[in-house]
Amino acid sequence: MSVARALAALIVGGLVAASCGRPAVPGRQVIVLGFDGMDYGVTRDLMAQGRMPNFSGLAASGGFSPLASTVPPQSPVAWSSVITGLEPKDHGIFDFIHRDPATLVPYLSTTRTEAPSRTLAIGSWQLPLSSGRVELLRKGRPFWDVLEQNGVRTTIMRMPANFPPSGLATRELSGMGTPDLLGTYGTFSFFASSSSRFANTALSGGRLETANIFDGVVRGQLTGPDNPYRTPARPVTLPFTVYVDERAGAAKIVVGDEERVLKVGEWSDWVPLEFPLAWFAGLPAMARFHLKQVAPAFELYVSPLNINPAAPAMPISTPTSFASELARATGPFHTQGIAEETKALSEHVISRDEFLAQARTVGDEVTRQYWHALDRFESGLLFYYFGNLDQVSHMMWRPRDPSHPAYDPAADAPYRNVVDDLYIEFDRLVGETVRRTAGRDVTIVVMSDHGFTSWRRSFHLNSWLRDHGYLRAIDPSLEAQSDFANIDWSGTRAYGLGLNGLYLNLQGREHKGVVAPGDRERLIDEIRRGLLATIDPATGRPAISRVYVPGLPAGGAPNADRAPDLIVLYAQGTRGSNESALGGLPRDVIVDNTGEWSGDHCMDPDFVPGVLLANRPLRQKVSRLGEVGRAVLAEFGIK
Amino acid sequence: MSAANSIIGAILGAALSRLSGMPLVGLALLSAVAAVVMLLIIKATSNQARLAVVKRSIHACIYEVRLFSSDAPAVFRAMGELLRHQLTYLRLSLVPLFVMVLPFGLLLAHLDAYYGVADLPPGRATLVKVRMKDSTGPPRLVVPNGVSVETPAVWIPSLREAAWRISTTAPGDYELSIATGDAVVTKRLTTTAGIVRRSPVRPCARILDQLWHPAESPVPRESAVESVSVIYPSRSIDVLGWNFHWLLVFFVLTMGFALALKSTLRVVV
Repeated sequence: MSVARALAALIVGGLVAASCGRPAVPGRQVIVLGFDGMDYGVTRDLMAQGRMPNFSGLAASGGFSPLASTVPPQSPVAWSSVITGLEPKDHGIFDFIHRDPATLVPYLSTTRTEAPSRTLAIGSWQLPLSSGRVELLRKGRPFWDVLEQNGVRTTIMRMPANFPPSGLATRELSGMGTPDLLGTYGTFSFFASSSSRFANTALSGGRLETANIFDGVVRGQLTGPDNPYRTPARPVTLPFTVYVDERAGAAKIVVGDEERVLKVGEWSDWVPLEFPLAWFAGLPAMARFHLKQVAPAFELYVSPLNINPAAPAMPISTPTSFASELARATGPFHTQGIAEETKALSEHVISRDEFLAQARTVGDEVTRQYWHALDRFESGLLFYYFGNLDQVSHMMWRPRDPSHPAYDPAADAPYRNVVDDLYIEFDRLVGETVRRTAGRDVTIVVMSDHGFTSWRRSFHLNSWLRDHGYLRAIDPSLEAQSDFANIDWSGTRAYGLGLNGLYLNLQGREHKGVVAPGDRERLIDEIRRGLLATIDPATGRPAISRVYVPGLPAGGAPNADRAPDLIVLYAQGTRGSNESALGGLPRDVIVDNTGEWSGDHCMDPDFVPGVLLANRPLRQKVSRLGEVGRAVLAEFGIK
Repeated sequence: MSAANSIIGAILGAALSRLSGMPLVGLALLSAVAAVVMLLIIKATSNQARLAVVKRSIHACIYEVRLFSSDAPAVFRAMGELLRHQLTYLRLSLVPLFVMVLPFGLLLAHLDAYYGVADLPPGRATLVKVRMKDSTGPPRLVVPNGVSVETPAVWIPSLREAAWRISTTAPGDYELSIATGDAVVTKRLTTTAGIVRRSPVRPCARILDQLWHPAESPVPRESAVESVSVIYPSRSIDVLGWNFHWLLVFFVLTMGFALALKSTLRVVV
């Protein structure tokens, strides 16, 4: 009978526990809303026009001021300074991408993924004998760790440069820097028939696959990462079938057990996927499908493969179950850190309207989760990040800048107010936040990591280095060759990598270094003076505002070999080119920016300040990003 | 088959009507009842005295292996005996097993309509698929108020299938109509929340299809439609924050209750 009693107690106890929650603990409350890319000037003007009344309300009660960004003003760099209160030389994040000096291969600056170090090979299969590792490369102590150590519960939602999550907050969801399933910032797939205008073209940021209709059926396959159970490494794939009904202008997509019917022009909801790795293991993911057209050509867009929050293949939250709880409560959501499909718009694989529809979906997911988090927020710190404004500003800045070299009145005018409308939408969100927290002792801080301005001119830094004798190409005619494959390292003294970084090809650090350490200072000074003297022939003004030398901490730093030797801060309107960022060597040095990506901030930070507002005067003055964390601690009385 | 399905469906419907918001409690109660029924079937259809003897013999063999672990010939002999008694135990269990297969198979198929299928909340899109007996063309889908058809029919001749995406605006029970010529076949669509009976498939008249899909009567034999499906999301049962397939929860609970109640009911298993 004792077994029976124990079993009954277990069942009853389980049922009771399953239906119980945790009691609330009242206390000090601080809400920090981080709007990536919210520009001080735009905000100020819209407030002056009376179009952001809720921001004006905050400004009146707590203040409104510009917030100085980091050098360079790039989001991973800037948010790392917010998190740690440290300068880039100390937290070790200098750009979106860094390079391994031993191999000169670029990698995502904030995260490193390592495969299992020991495996047992059996024919074409291998069994991992140790676990793989995802490492956060940002150094320094997050400010929320100090809060937690002082008994303050923290919820850190979508903080950039925090993947994998620090594990130090009560709850965390990783944000910008969280890769897609392929380990990139987002690689889309585009399936097009031979009659498509995209057939036989090259796409940047995505995969183009030929997919022809045979007897009303298209068969294709999604390509995932390398299968860890196979040797030699080969990507895992997942087949799918599209049944096309040209007369109806619609199709049924079947992938695994999932089926969706889409009309031409529609996006699917999130489709859960599972890539087969071995008979005993699968790799969960999810994607959205967009049926662009079925006739005369077939075109199907598939979003980057996102980590499925219901079954995360990589750690994206603290505790691990938090992501799946969120998905259950608010629906599946983009886990890829930069979720707006900017690359697809840049490649014209999707239109502006399709981009905005997709960005709206991302924004709705983030906002839905924000209200969910706010309604459950009872004490401590709630940090919530919104990345939508930054990404939409990148793609929709040109319509608000008639002076942009690629401005087309007919094409751009309909989108003139897109960015402003988004500011106004966030003003309403702040107003609703104030309303929902009325009567509570809560400090509300609104901040951004940098501002925005028009990107009119592109500076090919590596081309400049080539033309001035600091870099040698293997084949000067291969202008578009990227990944540094066309650089003759034996004749290269300096190279640009990333959007602002310039590195010397230093002996003892770079794999094929040629610059003696003793020549370093002289060469840095020579290049610096040359860059500052460069005049943009189109404007007659200097193309570069400042060239910054990041001093490394005395005694070195664990990440010293990642630091650029120079950080190039471009003049307002000019930005380092995408081609040069990955080692491309176009013919001209400075050219018009004619791409869809028309707004930016990777220039001199003086031109792109962020914003700081609060509903009450903060106990500690904040004028630059690195001071935000300390100011939050001060609100809790922690020094 | 259809009559049996109707009777079982009505009994389960009545039993679970007050437990639609508590999946785990409902499943636990059903498991307890299933355990009692299972024990009673075993008691009535098996040779209980012989089962008791075989069980004692198995225990004896296990003790023998432990006691004479240093005596290899004794251990091998005991293990041989153990194997023989276990085979006897299995043989004695076959009769109750055969008796239970049909009722429990039916029960599980019915329970799947309650616990294997999750809510389809208003606003959430799903697919209606109609499989035709020939590939002459798609039928028409006629929906009642509250249901909207979001896409035209995608007709797939190779599968003899027409598919639409639909959604509803309010929770409730709806009847979709599939018209082919003058004939109309209906299909139930349930968007009520909680543990209620949902019918993913209105099957064809074949016995096996009716067994698998007992929640709705079969499509008439003379219809041009073979079957009609509505895709519902699958459900998992939340147990202390962990999600399991309902069948696993039901199996574990039933076994647990059976072990707990066997002494009370004086059943040897």
